[in-house]
Amino acid sequence: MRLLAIETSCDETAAAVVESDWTIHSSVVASQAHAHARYGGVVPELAARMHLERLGGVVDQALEPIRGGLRGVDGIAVTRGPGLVGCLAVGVSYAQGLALATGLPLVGVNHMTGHVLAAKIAEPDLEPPFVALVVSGGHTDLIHYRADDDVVLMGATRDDAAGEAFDKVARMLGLAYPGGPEIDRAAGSGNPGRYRLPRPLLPDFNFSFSGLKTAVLYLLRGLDPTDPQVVADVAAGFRLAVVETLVAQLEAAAESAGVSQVVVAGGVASNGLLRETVRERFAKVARVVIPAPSLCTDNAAMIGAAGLVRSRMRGFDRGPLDADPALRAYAA
Amino acid sequence: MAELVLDTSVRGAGLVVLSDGGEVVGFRVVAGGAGSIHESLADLLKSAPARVSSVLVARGPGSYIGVRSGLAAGLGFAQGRGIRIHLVGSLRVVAETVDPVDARVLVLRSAGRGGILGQPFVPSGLGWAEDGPSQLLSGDQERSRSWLGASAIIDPDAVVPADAEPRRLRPVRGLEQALARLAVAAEGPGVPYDQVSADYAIRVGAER
Ligand SMILES: [Zn+2]
Repeated sequence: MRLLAIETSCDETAAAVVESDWTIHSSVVASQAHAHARYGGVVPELAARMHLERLGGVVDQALEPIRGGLRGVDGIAVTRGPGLVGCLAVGVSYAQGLALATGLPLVGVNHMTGHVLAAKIAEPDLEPPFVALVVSGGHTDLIHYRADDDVVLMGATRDDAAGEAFDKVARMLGLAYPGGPEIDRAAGSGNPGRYRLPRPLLPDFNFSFSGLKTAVLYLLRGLDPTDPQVVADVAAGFRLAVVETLVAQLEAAAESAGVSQVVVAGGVASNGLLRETVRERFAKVARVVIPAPSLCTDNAAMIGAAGLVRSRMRGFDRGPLDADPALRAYAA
Repeated sequence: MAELVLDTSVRGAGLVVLSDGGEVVGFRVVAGGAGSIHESLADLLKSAPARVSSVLVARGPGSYIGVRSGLAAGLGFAQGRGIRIHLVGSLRVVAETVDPVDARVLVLRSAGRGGILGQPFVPSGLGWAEDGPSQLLSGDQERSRSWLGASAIIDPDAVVPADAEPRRLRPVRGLEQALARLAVAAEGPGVPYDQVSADYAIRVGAER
């Protein structure tokens, strides 16, 4: 089974061709980050426009290495939610046009499940059960992945997602969007111990980053935010606080679920400190799977992975498919 | 050989038409949403099997999500078959419901929330040619600006009061027939798959 996968839920236009043995034949991502940077966040209307203008070329590029092009694939997977409604509509409409024209079967998949199943591409022998920490610009979730059709949400953020907190704090520090990589860069030359920031630990494996964000705001009032060393130290302190919070909850969740495997996924999982810290903490306790950074940020290969699992489990979708911006996370 | 035509630029509604040499082979009204376009399209192709040789899609202006969903579905279909895709302005489609008269006309359409979409056309052959870009007008702006220079209007949504001054032109054919006519007129290599984009109309006047 070989799937052409399409992803347009946020600000990356992506297409990939994946094989049922988890081989990626191609994975093309056209990022819009530079277009949204001047607005300090993703502008939904602009994102939808850009998806339409880029999708045709991105799909052509993804099919390039496939002999026979579309005739060389067996089905199509597309993200149907969650995400920005106008963006999802472009991908879902396009995929349905493509399916109708070719007679290829279509499967609509959940973007968040895609993030988790990127771990299968990274390490194909990974089998459930495992606990996954999924951290991105829109989500900070802890899930117990018991089986492909049995996923329990253990905890989630009560306010800002971790990625969102990075973006907001980056703005306070005068750094560019997206905030994650910018804070990472600034933190590189900073002393994380200079300013102590809170580690907001909520019960039941939930998260809250708004207090931490406010703590940074108050801290900066007494400091000179134009001093590069101040920016570096605050960035380092903030990054450490976020990472320690995430890892502490992941440890608690893994212990509670009694699993011996943990997965870290989503855009924020490309953060170097988070990756190192998780590996370090779980070194003697559990198997750790963290996909390569290019599989953590939004991409279509992960949508192909979710499409493979879903079509194997429930078959392809019959009948029309609608975009669902509020699609329940991890629903199989 | 037939042409597949899509116009989903009207909020909450749209049309999928199968046209053969300008004749309407079949059409379906699209209720709105990606799934609905797919359903109408699948149903139409099933009931009127024909070898589709090109796709024509209305590129707006109109409902943002509607226009983009139609364009994306048309693009996917064209790319899937490796056939040409042509684009046409949504207000041109409306113009083609009327036979040309010797005048510069303004096509008006409701954009919702009090906004009005307008675009001028002049007669060209058996139909109409654009005589300026599509515009999103607001308030009284359209009176002062766009009424000017047009001696007649085509106004299917009745956005202009009945006693307004310009001469009104009445449609002589339905939208599906207008689309079928335009499909025949669409010539040339079409738009490359990586250059399909919508028309969002130029916003005229200050926004409150
Ligand atoms: Zn994502």
